[in-house]
Order: sequence, then structure tokens, then C-alpha cells
Amino acid sequence: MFLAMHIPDGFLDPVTAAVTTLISAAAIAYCFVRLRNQAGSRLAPLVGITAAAIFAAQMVNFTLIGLQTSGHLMGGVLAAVVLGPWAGAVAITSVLFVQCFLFADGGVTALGANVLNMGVIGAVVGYGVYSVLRRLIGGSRGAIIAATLASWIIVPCSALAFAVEMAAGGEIPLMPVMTLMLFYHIWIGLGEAVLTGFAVSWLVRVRPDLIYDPAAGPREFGRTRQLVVGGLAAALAIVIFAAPWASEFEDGLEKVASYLKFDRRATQLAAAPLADYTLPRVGAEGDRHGGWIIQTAGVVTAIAGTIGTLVTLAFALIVSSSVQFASRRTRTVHAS
Amino acid sequence: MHRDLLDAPGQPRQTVLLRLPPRAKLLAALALVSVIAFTPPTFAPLTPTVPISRVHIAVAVLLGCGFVAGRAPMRHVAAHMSVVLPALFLLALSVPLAHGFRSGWEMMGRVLVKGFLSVLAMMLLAHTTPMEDMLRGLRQLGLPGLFVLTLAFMYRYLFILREEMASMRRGWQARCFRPSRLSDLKGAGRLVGMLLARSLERAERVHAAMLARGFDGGIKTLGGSESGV
Repeated sequence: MFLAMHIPDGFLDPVTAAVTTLISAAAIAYCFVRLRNQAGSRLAPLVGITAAAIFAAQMVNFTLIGLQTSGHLMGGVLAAVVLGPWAGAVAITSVLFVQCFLFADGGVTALGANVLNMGVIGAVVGYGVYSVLRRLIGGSRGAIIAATLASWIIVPCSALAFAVEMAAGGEIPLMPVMTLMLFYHIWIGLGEAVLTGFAVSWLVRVRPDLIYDPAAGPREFGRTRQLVVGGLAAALAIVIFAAPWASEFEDGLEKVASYLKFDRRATQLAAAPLADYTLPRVGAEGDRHGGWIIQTAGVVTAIAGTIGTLVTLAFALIVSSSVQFASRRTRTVHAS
Repeated sequence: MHRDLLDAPGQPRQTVLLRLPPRAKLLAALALVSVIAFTPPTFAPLTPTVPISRVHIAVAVLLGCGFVAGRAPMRHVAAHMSVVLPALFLLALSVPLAHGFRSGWEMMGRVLVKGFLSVLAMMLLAHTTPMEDMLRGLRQLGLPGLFVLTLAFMYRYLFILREEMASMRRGWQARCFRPSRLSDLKGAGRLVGMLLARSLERAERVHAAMLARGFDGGIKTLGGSESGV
């Protein structure tokens, strides 16, 4: 079994599909505008072949500890680390297109939503997080720590977007699907973070020049700085994981979902024989089938998210320091 | 898991469906999937208990005719479905989880029918359309030429890089296999990193070679059609 975040056909309603397609199309068009100036005729081979590599890398799947499921690399942050945010998003979008049209993996009507979740959020937003962290930490070590943390944070973010779109599609209420998705993707995100961390640390070792660098000369910072940055990242992740179960944020998401859902959809459902099954608020509307399960799962998810963040941070520090150790050793060997 | 997914549909057989213009085929597939996916739940269910609407039955019959007319390799389609469907099933399972186990099953059935038929429709398209036709169709549908070219490159190198990944993996397992989960992950991460490094180098070489052959950012085929910037 594997869990991927590809939304199939049939889960989204027309309005959600149209809105997400428009957003994704605009975002990818903007990526192309940014790319046309800098890449020239190199663009298509470069992005196409890297996209093929990301697709091939998705062959590697990792079994999740304790769960009988396995996930595979999403690769958004990884693509952005080597290609930059714009080309990275285009690469992930190509992967999604080929998966959709050639392998029927992910729906055509949901292609816009999938591009939004994995291409735009995965690569562009992921690169944003990565770039901020990297600038704060500095050095080649910074690239590893930032890539690890960013890929860890971005997987639950994509899952969150996924949940909102599914809820707007009207088949599934927001809170249960969000809890479920976040709960699974905390683990999947750990796998993504570890794989991305090892991949980037290897790249830093063998071909540090391949790491995308818009501005030259990041500075080296000390250990204190790294810990501060790590703490910030941990706080950020805690907010992301814990916030959905704070009522205001939840209401905001519900609002987004119902806005995407449109009134027409609501009246349609009210007319349907299934209408009374589709009340979205599990917790508010009596505990018909145990809203407390969802709430408990929410608390567990928030705790797991916090622990996961700390584990990822520790992992990032260890991997990056082992790389530094290795390069220092090489240097002494060369000197002697 | 994805190893099965990466098996290409292969060369389609000579049938009516192959000779149709790619743009028409793509549009038909899109229309069909839209009908499948966006048929409202209220639309004339067959009986009150069975969640399949008449539209879906009609579409299923149509798809069946398509598979017969297109002479799609059914064993390959079935193998492919066995990879895609578990994910669909898992996702559909969240419907009864969310709605309660008494009432959610009907909705889950509806979602499963929609997902299943849509996958079938896309498989029919993939098995009756060679990739070149698919790309030409996407270009004619208004996708930017640069993006279509990127897709073409991706398809060209997909199977090569997959082989490279497999051989690197084999080499790694032969040399430093240690049965622990962490070292597995470490090896996998390094494989991915190495694959990326190699593919970026390959992209540079490919681009240089193409420039030497007069590449100007467009792609030309012997069919006379041109998709490019």
C-alpha cells in the first residue's frame, strides 16, 4: 500500500476544480515568465530531465515505522533546491502531467489541485521556507539543515491544502479528513525529510555547485545561530500542527472550504436524499459517531507533530555535521 | 510500487481510435471524465439503494466499447489498475471514516465508481494514443510550447533514468548492504542525490549536443508538425 497525495477524479466539485486549476495555471505561467529570462533554450532539457529523475526517484519508497503503509518522495523541495523555485515547480508539474495522462495516477479534473498542492506549495512555498532558513544559517551546512526542515514542514502543508480542497469538494467534512491527512503526513513528512536531507548532504559533498544559489556568498554562522533558527522552525511547525485544533483557525478553514464550495452546492446537497449525512461539523453537531475520536486524534497529531519537528531538527544537525566532518578530514588528507 | 506504474503503455495497435486526431481524443477524454466526476449525486440513481446513476452506466458501456474498438491490452490495463486502485480505495475509505460507518458507505460507493470510471477513461486514452500524439494534442489544446517540450524531454529520459536508478540501486545493494532501516534510508537518500547530480550533468551534455545539431528551442518531427516555442 502506498499513500500519495494525488487527488483522483470524483472527489472535487466543479467549482473547486475550476478555482484550483485557475490558480495553478496562473502560478505556473508566472514561473515560465520568471524562467524565460534566465534559462533560454537550456530550460526544456534541464527541467525535463530533472523531472524524469524526480519521477525515477519516486521508485524508492520508504516503509513508515509502525504503520503498515509506505510513502515515496514528493520531491518538491528537492527539485527546488537544485533548480530553484520556478523551474522546480515546472518540474513537479511535468511529473504530475505525465502521471495523470500516461499512468492515470491522479485525476484530470483534479490536476489543478494536485499541481497546487505539490508543485506550487511543494516547490515554490517549500523553496521559500528553505531559502529563509538557509540564509539564516548560512554555509553548505545551512543548505542541508534548511532543505531537511523545509521538506518536513511542507508535506503537512500540502496535506492541509489537500484537506481543504477535498472538504470544498463536498464529499468529506473538513475536520476528519484534515486530522487524518495530517496524522499520516507527519510520518510521511519524516520520510521525505530524511531522504531529502541525505540527498542534499550527498549533493553538497559531491557537487556543491549544483545547489541552486540565486545570490552569491552565504556566510557561515556559529552553532548558537543554528539552534536559534532550529527553535524558530520548531515553533513554526508547532503552530502549523497545533493551530488547526484551535477554534479560530478551524473556522477560517471552514470558511475557505465553504467559500470554494459555493452556495449552489449546498442547496444541491440539501435537496439530495443523502443531505443529512453531509453535515460537515463533526464536533459541533452532537457526537453522532464520536467526535471525540477526531478531537483526541487532533491532540495526538499536534503532539506527534511537535516531537517530529524536534526529531527532524536533530537529524538535520547530525547529518550536516557529519558532512562537515567528512570534508574536514578530506582536507587534512590532502594537506598531509 | 511505482516500478509497475513506470511500465509504459507501449505502442498502441492499429485501430480506429489510434487514427483519430489527438486533439479530438483528448477533448473527448476530458469531457468524459468531467461527466463522470461532476455528475451530481442526485442524478437519477438506478434504485434508491444502489449509488450508481444511469449516467455512469452509460459511460461504462461507452468505455467498454472503446476498449473493444481500441483493442487495448487488457492484461496491461489490469496490471496498471491494480497499482492505482489501492490508493483510490484508501482515499475513499476516509468517507465512511468521516461520515460514520452506517451512512458513509453509499457515498464511498459513489466516489469509488467515479474514481474507477475516470481511471478507466484515462487508461483508454493512454493505451490508444502514442506519447507523440498526446503531446501534439496537448499543444493544440493550448498548452505552452515550452511546457510541451519539457514534457517531451521528460518522457524521453524517463525510462533511461529509471534504468540508471535501478542499476545504481543494485550496485549499492551489492556493495554495502547492511540490514538496518537507517542505513537503508541513508543509501536511498544518496541514490536520489546521485541520480539528481547525474541527471543535471546529463542535461548539460544533452543540451550541448543539441545545440551542436542546431537546436533553437523548438522541436521538429518528420510528421511535419512542429511544437515548440
